[in-house]
Order: sequence, then C-alpha cells, then structure tokens
Amino acid sequence: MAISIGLRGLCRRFGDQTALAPLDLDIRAGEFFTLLGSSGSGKSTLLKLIGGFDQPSAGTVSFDGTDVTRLPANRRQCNTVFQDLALFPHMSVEQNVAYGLRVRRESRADCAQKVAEALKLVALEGYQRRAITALSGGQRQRVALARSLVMEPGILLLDEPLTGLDERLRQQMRDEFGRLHRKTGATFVLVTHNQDEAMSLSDRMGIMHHGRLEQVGTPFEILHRPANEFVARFVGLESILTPERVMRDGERLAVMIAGQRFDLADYREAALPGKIALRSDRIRIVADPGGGGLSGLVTALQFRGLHYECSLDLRGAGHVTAIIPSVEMPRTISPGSEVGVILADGALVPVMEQAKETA
Amino acid sequence: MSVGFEKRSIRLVIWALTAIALIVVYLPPIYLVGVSFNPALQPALPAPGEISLKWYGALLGEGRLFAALRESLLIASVVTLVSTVTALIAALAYLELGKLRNSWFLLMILPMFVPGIIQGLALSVLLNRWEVVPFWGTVALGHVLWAMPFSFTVILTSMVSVRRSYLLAAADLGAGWGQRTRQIVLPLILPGLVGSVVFSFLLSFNEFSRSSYLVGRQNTLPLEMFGKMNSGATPTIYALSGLTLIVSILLVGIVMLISARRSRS
Repeated sequence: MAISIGLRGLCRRFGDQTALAPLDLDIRAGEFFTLLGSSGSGKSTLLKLIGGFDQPSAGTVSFDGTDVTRLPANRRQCNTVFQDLALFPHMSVEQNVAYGLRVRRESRADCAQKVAEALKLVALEGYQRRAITALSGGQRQRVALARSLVMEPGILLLDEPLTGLDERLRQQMRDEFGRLHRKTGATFVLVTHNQDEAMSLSDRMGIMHHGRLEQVGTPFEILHRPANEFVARFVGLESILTPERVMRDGERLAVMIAGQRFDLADYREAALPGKIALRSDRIRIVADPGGGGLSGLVTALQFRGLHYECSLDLRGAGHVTAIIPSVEMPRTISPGSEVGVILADGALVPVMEQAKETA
Repeated sequence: MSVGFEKRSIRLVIWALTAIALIVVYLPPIYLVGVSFNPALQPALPAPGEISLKWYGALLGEGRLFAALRESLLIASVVTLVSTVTALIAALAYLELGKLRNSWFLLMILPMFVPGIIQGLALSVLLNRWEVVPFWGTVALGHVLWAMPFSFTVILTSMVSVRRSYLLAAADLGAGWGQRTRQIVLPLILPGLVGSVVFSFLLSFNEFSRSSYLVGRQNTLPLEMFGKMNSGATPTIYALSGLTLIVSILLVGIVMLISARRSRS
C-alpha cells in the first residue's frame, strides 16, 4: 500500500552549515515525486532524512500521519535504491534480492517465489544464480530495483540511480521507473539532477537550490510558471528579460519589451510576474531587421547539428538565445548581422518572482 | 599486465632479481631440511646413499622438545583467538568512529613499536609486583600485545571492501547492527580474518624476547631450541625444524588447493 510522506519544519545543519533549510512538504500516497537540483542543493540530504539514514536538526518526518522521525532506517516502511546501487558483492542475484525477506524471516519457499516475481518484474527472469560481478550496469540497476521492490515498500526512494549509465540505457531505465511506478502503485521519490528524468516521470516535482525548496509543482506548472529566475534557468529557460511594464488585460497578460507589447493568453495568477523568460525554441529570426516585432544583433552563432544556437542582443532589452532549426536558418546571417526577432506563440513564460525594488 | 612490454634487458634483470630473492629466502630452510636427513652428528647435507630418518626417530624420544612444542601450540592458539577477536572489535569500532579514527588507529598499532625486550621486562616486573606466577597465560598476554596490532592492520585493510552504502542498504532492508555485521561485514572481510589468524599464530609461535621474560616452568619451543643450541646442538632440533617446515608447506599447499578448487566452482 502506498504511503504518504509529511515533512514539517524539517531542517539539517552540519555545524554552522545549513544543508537543508526548514521546509514543509507533503508527498501524496502513490505519487511520483522528484527532487531536482544540482549537487550540493540538499536533495540527497532530504532523501536521507526520509529514509532514516540521518537525523534532522529540527522538524519531523511522518509516514501516513505517523511520526517516524526517530525511527531508525531498518524499521521504516520505505526502501531505497542507492546511487552506487550497493549490491552485496559476496551474494548472488537471488541472495541479494532475498536479503530483506530473509531478515524478515520469511520461509524459503516464499522467498524463492517472491524473488522470482521481483526478477520477472524487472525483466531478469532466470538470473537467480548469477554473481553480481557477472552483470552489466543495466542489469545491476534492475537487481537493485528488484531488491527494493520485493519488499513491497509503501515508499520507494531513488537516489540518483541513473547516474553512471550511458545515455541509451539511462533513457530505457527511466521509462522502466515509470512502468514500475504504475505497476506497484507505491509512492516514488526520485532524487536527480537530470531535468529530463524529472519532467518525464514526475506527477509533481520540487526544485532545490542551496538547501531550499524553490518551487513545488507539476512539471507543466514549473515549465509554464517558474517561481523565480533560478527555477526558470534550471528547467532550461535561459533567456530571461526584465520587461519595461507588465499589466493585466482581462485574462491576458500584457508585457512591454523594447517598447513593444506582447500578449500572453490565459493568465489567471493572482500576482504579476517580475521577469519574463523566452523559450529559445519559440524565437525565430528573419534577415530583415524591420521584418519582425523586435530587432537584435547576432553576437554568436553555433552549429549544433539539428539546430543552430544563436545569441542575440535585443538592444537594451537584454540578451537571449534562440534555437533555430538548421533547415530554417537564413543563409545570410552571421555574427554581427542585424536581424528581426519574432516571438512565436508560447515564447513568453512569466517568471513569478516579484520585481526587485529599484531606486 | 602486458607480457613482453619491457625491454629484454630489463626483463632479464627482473628475472635475475627474482631468482636471487627466491634463493636467499628458500635456500637456508631447504638446506636445513636436507641436514635433518643426515645421520652424521655434524650439520651437512647427506650423501645420496646416507639419507636416514635417524634424527626423526630420535625426536620421538625428546620429551622436553615435544612438551615445548605443545606449550607453543597452546599459546599460539589462544593468542590467535584473542588477538583476532579483539582486533575485529577494534576494526568495527574504527568503522563507526568519525574524526577520532586516526587517533584510534595509532593507539591500536602503538604496541608494534615497543621493543619486545622492554615490553617483556615491563610486563614481568608488573606481574611480579601483582604476585602472578608466570605460566602459559602470562606468555600469551605478552604475545597478544605483539600480535594484535598486526591483526588489526590486516583486518582494517580488508575493511575497505565494506562500502558504507552496503551497510546502509542492509539497514534499509531491515537488518539491525548484529545482522549487518554477521551477514555483510564478516563475509566481506573474511580474507582479512584469515590473514589475521595466520599472522598472529606465526608471530606467537616464533616469539622469543617477550617469552623469555614471561615464561613459567614450561619453555616455549623457541626458548627450548635456543637452549638446546647453546648447550651443544643435537641434530634432533634439525629434525624438528625440518618437520615444522614440511608441515607448514603441506598446510599452505592444502589451503591453496582448496581455494583454487573453490574459485573454479
């Protein structure tokens, strides 16, 4: 049965270093929740506190409303897949997967059956007798997953389990996580620095930075209403401008950039955004400087295969990067060219942080 | 390792050095074994026709030597057990310690650097003061202080194969401290434990200086043999040395055979 997680005022300090600033967070039962952040952001610290591998400096952790803050890891209703997998090297695949069951003193017959089922779940039928050292990276990954899943945990914690796999395998295992989540129905908490994993898998995600939870929301919410500049940049919205004016016009948001008005439909937020991010893939350029809404100077142009990455100076409004498909790139454009810049639908993303007071 | 990567001349030098090292290490004891089969009184290699088990036969009559051997085996067994168990506990403590690790390590290996003649004297003075009559236990006490730092170092070296995440994973799967230690730590450090057993047994079996201070009425084997050499060597000690060497080589051979067979299966 899936278990919900409640964190209240949870924080962790090491001496005078704050690894995790006090935070409140509720993860619903059965949810796929991702903690996204760069290294040192506190995401692994948070996972350790949930798993019971570390004690918080203050605050509480509760599972299904029951306080488990002081419960040691071996008595918590959750299981973890570790970053280095931590498969026991002196045991076979079967012994690894059965370890938790044996600790629980389940009968040999039950163990064998459950191990077989767990291995089937991760597509490793018949691997029982193999040595851990005889497995490939992806197979080890699956064994680690099976070892946790065989416990039928209410909560599965995944601590960057895909780092160290090559890209193809990583994508394959990523999709596997999604399948296993649907199949087991358990609450999954994934820690990662890879936004592709976070976006593809999460029901909701939390973005962490410097020990703080910057924003919690669905991938859609975070992509379309990033809470601040950091979140926007972290999810790939690198081009951020401070508009001259922002105002509400019915259910539309009107934004003034370089003296021109751009509209954003369906804006129902209570607050007005302090900044605007431009989606690089929704910016187009034309050779004629007067041919688009805005004009700009090409400062750099880089060929990336399927597309060009084009750095633009928007004449006082700021710098942005446009991703232009190779086939649509006007031939005449090179660094130093004056170009027209067109913002296609969906190019504007309001960044919800409040404008800083300027003197 | 790439065979034939180095220049031919360098390889020749390496082989020559290896051969010299092997000769230096193994020639004297093998010579001794040869001597033990010579029926003459003077130590020399026997002529091919003269090989005899005379001194081995005489050995059976050497009651004192056998008593000393029995004493040494008893002490070495006790020392092996105590030193390995204590060193294991110390190494487990090391695993749990944070900043104090280095101090703990130094504290544990310190007895290694106390000269045996001083350690033995100090212990004997103290035991005398407490009116403890020397017996095999007092010798074992001295030997444990000598062997334990070695056991500790050997076990600690094997502890690197115990990653912290293994223990976290075992805890995550429900195992308490005892289960983690029994099911994860001990199997992983087994080579270290075997090393510790071999080391402490041999260190105790060979020990002379501490024993000479702490010994009771029954001599240990090294003391007895030294005494015999001083009072004019009887060739029976060559037979005893030969026997010890042959038994050790047989034991090592058997262990290697077993481990080779196990790794094949």
